[in-house]
Amino acid sequence: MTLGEFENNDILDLKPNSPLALIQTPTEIENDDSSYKHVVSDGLLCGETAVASKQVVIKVNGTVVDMVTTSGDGGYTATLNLKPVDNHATNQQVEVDCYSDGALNLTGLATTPDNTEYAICTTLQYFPYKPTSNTTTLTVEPQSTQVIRTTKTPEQLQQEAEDEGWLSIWHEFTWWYPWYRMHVKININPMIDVGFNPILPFGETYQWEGLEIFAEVLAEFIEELVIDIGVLFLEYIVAKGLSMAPITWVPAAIALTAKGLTQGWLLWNDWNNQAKMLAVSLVNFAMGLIALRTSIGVAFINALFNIVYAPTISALYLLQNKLTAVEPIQHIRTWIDGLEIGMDFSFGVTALARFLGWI
Amino acid sequence: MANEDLTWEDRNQLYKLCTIPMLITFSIFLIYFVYLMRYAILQTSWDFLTKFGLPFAISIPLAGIVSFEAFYYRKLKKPIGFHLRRLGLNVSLVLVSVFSFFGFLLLTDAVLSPYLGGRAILTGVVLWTVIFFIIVTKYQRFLRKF
Repeated sequence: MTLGEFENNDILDLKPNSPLALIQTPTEIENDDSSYKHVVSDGLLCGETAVASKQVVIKVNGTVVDMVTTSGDGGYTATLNLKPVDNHATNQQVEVDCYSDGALNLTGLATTPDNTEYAICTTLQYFPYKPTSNTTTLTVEPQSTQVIRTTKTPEQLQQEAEDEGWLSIWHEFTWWYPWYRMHVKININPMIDVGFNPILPFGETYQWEGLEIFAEVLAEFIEELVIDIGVLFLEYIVAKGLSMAPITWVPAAIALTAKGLTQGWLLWNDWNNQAKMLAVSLVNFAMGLIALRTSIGVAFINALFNIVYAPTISALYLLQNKLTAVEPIQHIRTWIDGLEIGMDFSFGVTALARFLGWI
Repeated sequence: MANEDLTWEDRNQLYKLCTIPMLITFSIFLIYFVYLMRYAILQTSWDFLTKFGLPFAISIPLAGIVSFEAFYYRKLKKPIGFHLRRLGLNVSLVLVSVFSFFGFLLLTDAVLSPYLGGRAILTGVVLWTVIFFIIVTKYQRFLRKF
């Protein structure tokens, strides 16, 4: 391409006919702490204009690992698997290149007095954009074998919730029957309000909106826990007061049978309520685990934390608080544990089978 | 009433063994319960009480009591009369407990259900258990005087 003709003593003035500058926004590399995957996100701009449908080459330590195309807004994303070498922290150089797809040789010509053209300079013109490159170096640390999640204590969760305004506590006194309840209200759509007496396990109230299965589960938990705590304290009284006299185990067995009968009655009452059957099943498994060891039951509740969404967490936290009341007297339970665990798991299996439609 | 010929460890071992027949009895009743529900036999609370509740409440402790006496007899070979006397006392205790339990539940349900709704039954269970153990404790102390 001839840019212009030179006359002697003219000053060559090259004027580009397309933009030359090509700017990349700063490359962002995000990493999930639990894996070696690194997400590279960036954008191609020319001035303030997004450059779409441009191929971008991604290299790691000089080796091409991926090629992506920019979207309509000039952005692109690539996921890289960057691993440490020999389990040591390793520096990895991530280079993002965008090559121009057109480069032209431009030659400036001049004409000698005898009208012979000769080249006085040559240059490259990139059309339409110049190539561009962005390089980032990051250090990849070896991951531990366990996935470590940053967890917050229930107290921190509660404080956060209160600070954000979706958790509130209010107090209720009723005249008939005379009772005091502390209400914990969670008000993110849906709304939950649980009222309970911090000392005595009676008279709980709950209002739910929209949490169908976990409303059922929590109601079942509290009901079963009332029964269980009653039986546990009675066994404690028996063991302390009667020093395991021979007649003692008979009242204990009767009390446990009464508990089993009540569980059977609850099962009969809700036999055709599918959600309730699942709730009964989950609760009986949890209560069986608690009878085995309180910490296992608490771990089961913790596992539920991971599969429910935020509003239920505080409600389950309340339940977990109630479970800790069981722990101090659990050590005195002996042979009757086997019977109770068996009954709890059997009821759980029956309710689950009913929920699944097998019976 | 104290079994001075049985050590604490022996007695505890027998109690643990007794849970097996109790669990078997419980499993049979659970299967029976599923049968009753499948054929819609338990229509009302009275049906539940008479066709399932009472037999369940009596059979499971009885299974434990009878098996305990059987294991006890097998271990120490005491006279049959001794075991029958103990058996009679424990069976009486079971029957009194079960009937008082249901009677108390009916009373609690009638009195408290307008105020507590479905919770009346649960409240009745806990209240009955507390009162039952207080009575048994006092009765036990009374027997020791003789």
